[in-house]
Amino acid sequence: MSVAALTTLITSIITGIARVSKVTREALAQSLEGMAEDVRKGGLIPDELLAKVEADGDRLRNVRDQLPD
Amino acid sequence: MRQTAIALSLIFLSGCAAGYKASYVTGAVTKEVVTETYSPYSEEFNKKIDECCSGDVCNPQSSDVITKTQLDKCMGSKFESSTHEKIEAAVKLYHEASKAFTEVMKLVDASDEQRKAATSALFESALNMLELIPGGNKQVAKLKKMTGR
Repeated sequence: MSVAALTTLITSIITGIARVSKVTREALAQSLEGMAEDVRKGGLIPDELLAKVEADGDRLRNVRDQLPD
Repeated sequence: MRQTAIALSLIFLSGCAAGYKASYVTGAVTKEVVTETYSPYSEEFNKKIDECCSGDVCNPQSSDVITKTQLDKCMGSKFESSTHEKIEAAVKLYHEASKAFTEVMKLVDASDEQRKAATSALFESALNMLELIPGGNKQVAKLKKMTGR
C-alpha cells in the first residue's frame, strides 16, 4: 500500500469517526434533553395507566360482587 | 496499521453504542411504553367480561344468573379477578416508583446513590409489572437485555 493510499485511508477513518461522533452526540443530547423534559413535566408517571387498570378492576369487581357465591 | 485503525474505530463505536444504550434504557420505560403494553390486554379483558356476561347472566335479578365461580371459570386464569388484582398491585407500585424517580431526578442536590436507587426501583417495578401483563414478555426481554439483568 502506498503512502498516499494509507493517508487517504486514515483520513477517511478519522472523518468517519468525527461524523459518527457528531451524530451520536447530537442524538444523545436530544434524547437526554427529551428525557429531562419528560421528568420535569412528570411524563414518566403513568397516571393514565393506573386509572385504566383501576377502572378495569372496578368493572370486574362490580360485576362479580353482584353474583351469588 | 489498517487493523489498528479499524480496531480503534470499533472501540470508539462501541463507546457510542454504550452511550445510546444508557439513554435508551431510561427512555424505554416511559408511560407510553407501559400503557401501550397494557392496552391490548385491557381490550381483551373487557371483551371477555362482555362475553362472559352476555345474555343477562351477570344480572342478579335474572333467573339465568351465574355464580362467582362460574364467572371466574369463564374469565379464565388470564383474566380472572385474582390475576387482575396482582396486575393492579404491580401497576400501583410502578406508579409510586415513577413518582419517586421523578422527584429524585428533579432534586438538584440528590446524591448518586439516591438517583441509582430510584432508577433501580423504577426498573424493578416496571419488570415486575410487565411480567404480569400478558404480552409484556417482549418488553421484559428487551429491558433485561438492555440493563443486563
